[in-house]
Amino acid sequence: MIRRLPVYILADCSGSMSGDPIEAVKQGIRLLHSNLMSDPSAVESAYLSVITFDSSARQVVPLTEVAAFNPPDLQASGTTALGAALKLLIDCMSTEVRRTTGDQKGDWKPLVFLLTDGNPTDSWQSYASQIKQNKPTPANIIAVGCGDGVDTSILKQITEQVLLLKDMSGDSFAAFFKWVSSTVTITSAKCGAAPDAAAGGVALPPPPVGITIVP
Amino acid sequence: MNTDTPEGKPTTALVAPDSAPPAKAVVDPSESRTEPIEPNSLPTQDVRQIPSPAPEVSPASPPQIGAPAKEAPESEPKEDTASVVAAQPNTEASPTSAAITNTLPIAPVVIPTPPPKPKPATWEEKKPEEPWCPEVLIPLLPWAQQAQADYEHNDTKELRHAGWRLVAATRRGRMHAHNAEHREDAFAWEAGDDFLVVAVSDGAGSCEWSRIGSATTTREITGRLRDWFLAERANLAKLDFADLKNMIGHQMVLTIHDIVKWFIDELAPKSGAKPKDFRCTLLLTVWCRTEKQEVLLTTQVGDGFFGLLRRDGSATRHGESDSGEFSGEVTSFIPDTNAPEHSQKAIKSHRVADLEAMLLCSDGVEDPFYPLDKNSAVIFHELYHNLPGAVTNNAGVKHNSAIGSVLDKDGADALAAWLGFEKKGENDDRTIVLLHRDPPAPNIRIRSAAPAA
Repeated sequence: MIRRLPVYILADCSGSMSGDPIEAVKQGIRLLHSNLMSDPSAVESAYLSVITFDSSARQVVPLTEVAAFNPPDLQASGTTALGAALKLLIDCMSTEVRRTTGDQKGDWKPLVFLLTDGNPTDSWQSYASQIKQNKPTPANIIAVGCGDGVDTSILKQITEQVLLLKDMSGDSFAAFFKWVSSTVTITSAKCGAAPDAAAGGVALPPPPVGITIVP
Repeated sequence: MNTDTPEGKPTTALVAPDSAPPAKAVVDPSESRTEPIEPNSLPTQDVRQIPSPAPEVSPASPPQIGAPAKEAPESEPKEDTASVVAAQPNTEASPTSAAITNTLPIAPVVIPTPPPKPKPATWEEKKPEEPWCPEVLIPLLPWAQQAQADYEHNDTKELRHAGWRLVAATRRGRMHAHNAEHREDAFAWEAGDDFLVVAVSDGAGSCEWSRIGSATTTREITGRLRDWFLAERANLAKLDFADLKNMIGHQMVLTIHDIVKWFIDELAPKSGAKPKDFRCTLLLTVWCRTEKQEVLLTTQVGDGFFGLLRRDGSATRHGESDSGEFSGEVTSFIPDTNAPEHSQKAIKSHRVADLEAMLLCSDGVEDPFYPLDKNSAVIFHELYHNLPGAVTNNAGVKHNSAIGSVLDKDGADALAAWLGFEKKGENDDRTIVLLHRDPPAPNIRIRSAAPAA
């Protein structure tokens, strides 16, 4: 069994993302895939999954090695069932992420990128709380709000690591996904111990212009 | 293949016959992803009026050409780079229409082709641009210039001494080679008439000068303990077993404490670095023989492991793997302030009379062969009994060719070849030190055993 770096992308596909934003997200996932393919360490270790959420949530791509990953088609419509997405993330990680046992080395701590442009329309607090408490599967969660309609205080209840994408232009999303690629490749390059792992955070590369860290 | 052998039952079948490596997931090149050619469904809520200029796509997107036959709405971007077939009536018909006479203008057809699938990158080997020792540290580390001159990405060493033989190999991992970085693993040993001190250290990835940390730690620990043994020889000769063991163990921890203090109080402030920039692990083995006693002690900080081969052929590991639930969560490093305490807790005395050989390995070897309580036997078997040809062993580790005898003179080269094994996802620096009885036990039948109480 090889040790994998699981990467989950949670993409908001609600109606307000329709048009340019959802196309930019699609393109961004392609870009992420392409960048990871150009890094041999990511090719060997990174596994990608895409979860989308609108009025409900679904795992459109299960955890798949980079070389076999097919960037999914995305459509935008409906509401913003963030709670359903978080619950699905919890379930997927429980099933898919391997822990260290007496017999095998576990996967690296999963990286999760949550992208949303609006506020949840379903019940999300209990799932957010579980995730914040690293239960049942600890993960490094980075929540990214995009546009003017997002309440970052909600995202802060899911994770300490919250970024804000001010505009929803194609360039913005492209820069964001490039940054996601860097984060994944840097994380997968840490083949030894990550000294900050105990502190809970992953060492994020500095975000590009247009993305700000929410303190 | 299952390596579980019942206790006490010797087996020679530790190596799987040449088996195919695990199949890589195959990406079917003929699989195409066509974009759906249909209007987006209209949002029922959260409608936001987004003006639709030409969508931002990759620079290679073809220009809009008038009157495309495609039905897609404007918001469907042409991210496909080679999709527009014709801009004008096409007299160069597709192969199948060669027989058709073109009397009518053919409307340009846009065939959405999937973007070309990116090819997976392969590992490259690059020379680091940065010198091995940063400028600012050279004045503070008198031996650094020589160490820099001596540094090699892959290195070996051997020594025969006092009834033991030491053979070691270290190798820069593919990850560092690809990123044009130096090897961060290091090892060192010192030998005196009646003592051996052996150290292995692995610089923490993401700590900027961890290669200096590991080189300095191994060099200083072995050097200082050597000096102590030389100075204390007469005193040690008088001690009984328990006192000798305690005294040496105490000195090992004290030396670790002194080195931690030196990083924090001297090297870091004088170079402008932080102590954590030098973070590294440590495996330390000390053997000492006086007229009446013989003692072998180990301790460690961080990950890596000691393999133990007993004279009866049973093999296991010593040391708890210092990692958490997920890979890569080490709880202590040199020069963290808690390192001496960790090393104190990890001190262990081993019965030398029972011992045939010991391994000290960084996690670059530990991880591919995990779990080591079971698979230490696989390693010892391969080192003691040669590899006749390419093989994938019971730990799923693949050797690409035959490996000669590690135990003979010049066996260090064979050990270096052994260290070139392959396992997917295992691309860290690798270091292995084998300490074995000289001469080694002939025809030893090696099997896995549960750790001793």
